[in-house]
Amino acid sequence: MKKFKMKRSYLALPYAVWLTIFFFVPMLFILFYAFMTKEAPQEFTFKHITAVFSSTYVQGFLRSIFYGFLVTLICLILGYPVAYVLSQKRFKLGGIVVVLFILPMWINFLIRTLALKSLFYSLGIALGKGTAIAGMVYDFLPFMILPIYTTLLKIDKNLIEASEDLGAPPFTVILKTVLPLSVPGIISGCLMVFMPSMSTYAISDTLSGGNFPLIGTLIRLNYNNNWGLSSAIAIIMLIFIFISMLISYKFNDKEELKGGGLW
Amino acid sequence: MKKDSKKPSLKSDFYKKRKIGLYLGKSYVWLILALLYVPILMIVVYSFSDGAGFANFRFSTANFTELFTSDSDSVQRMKTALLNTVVIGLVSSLFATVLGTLGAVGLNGMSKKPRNVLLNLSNVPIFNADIITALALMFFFLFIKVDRSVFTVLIGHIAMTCPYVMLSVLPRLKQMNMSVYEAALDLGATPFSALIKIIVPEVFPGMVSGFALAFTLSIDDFIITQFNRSSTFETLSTYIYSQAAGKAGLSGALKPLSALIFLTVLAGLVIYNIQKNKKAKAAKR
Repeated sequence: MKKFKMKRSYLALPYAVWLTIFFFVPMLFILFYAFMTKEAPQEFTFKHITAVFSSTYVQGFLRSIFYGFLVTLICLILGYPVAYVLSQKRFKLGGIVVVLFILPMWINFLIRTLALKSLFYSLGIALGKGTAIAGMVYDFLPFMILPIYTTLLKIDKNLIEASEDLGAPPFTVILKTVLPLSVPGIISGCLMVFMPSMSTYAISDTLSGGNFPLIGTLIRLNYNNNWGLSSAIAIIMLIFIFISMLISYKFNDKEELKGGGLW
Repeated sequence: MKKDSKKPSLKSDFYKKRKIGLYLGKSYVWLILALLYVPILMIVVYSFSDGAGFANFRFSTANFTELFTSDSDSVQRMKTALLNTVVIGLVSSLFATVLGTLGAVGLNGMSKKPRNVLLNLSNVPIFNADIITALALMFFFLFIKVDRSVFTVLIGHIAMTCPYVMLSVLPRLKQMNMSVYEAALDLGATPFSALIKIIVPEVFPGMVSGFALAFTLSIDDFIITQFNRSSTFETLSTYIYSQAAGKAGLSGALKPLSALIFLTVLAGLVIYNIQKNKKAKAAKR
């Protein structure tokens, strides 16, 4: 009798429309400005993209990628053992301590960054590359620990017991059983650290005294006057994001990507 | 450890080594935790000092007096920024929770193909770098000639957080038995009342954690706000960033404010965990 049958799938409409208008359509503008001249007869051009391959920007990219990897690696080396110990049943306080690792995430990251800056200042440590890297590690370490921790908790304990019973010494158990099983956690932890440490400018600018331009800084410097160039930088960055998305899809169940399981 | 006594003595060496390993591991965890908290705790302690720098601690409550009583421009700006942060956080997460929940319910009712498309598209804003999202949205608002204001910031925050809500509600929906919902419809309930009375109570925990996640992301956001605000509208992030350049870190009234934020978060977590433990114990009985 009703002309219009309400289907449950229609409920997703407001969500889909919102994302389309305020995320996907704006993203098209980046594509547009990256390949169009700014002047009145707007024409297709590669000049912004080629400008990104000039020495300043290539250097900026290489620097961001290198230091992004470095920060990720330091976070992994520092964070994995923490996640491992926290996930041990024998560490009875583990469940409480993990909350203490989450807590800093609820304090504004700029407050944490400036607190660290105060500390460097009073210890007489001059700002530079080193302090900027330390700051990124400090801010992003919880993002590494948590995904690894959740993955480690899910590991079937029987597999670990089996390798112990078969005579593997503790270190071999970690290396040959625990580590391979926790690869999905490692991957999502690395992505959650690598992406922001590549694109941040607030942390790196504040803690380096302004002498450490990463990709984020380059976008910020151009976003008011040179839309074409900042869009072109964003396009190149999107390629990295796309690759990281593919990596993450390969290693995770589709619906367990970032976020969700964290909080 | 009960296990030790039961095992044959042949293996006691193994367990001794494991114990030493655990002690080493624990000390390492406490060390990292200490490093993580030193800067924050320093701020809490030094919010009670009016000496310059960490080297000369002079007890004083001057910073707190300034925070609570000063009507200087910068303190007023800071308070407005704090209020803006909380209001933007609450309003945007509320909207994001409604949109995200509807999105999840709708997505759950789709056939496989459109469901996978929408699910994959929902992951794009999550994976995208905030700075690109912010830049794109800024271009969009400039193009349609909408003045950037509190509303453009809100729109940006909702767009950024609603996929997270959708992804935290979805697992709950998968666990639930949809025939109850269908039955309600067959018995004459309108889709809206069936949604409110059957689905929402079932997925409520997912909505709560989605809301909390959205709120956390919103109050921690800097770049989307920075690119899409009017010059007079500030949140805590943009205010602190504007104060950061060239100074020796947190200054004046920002110290006691940061200390209070830390203590509030700490208190909130302690209360939450006590409640959770109580519930867990009650459930065991």
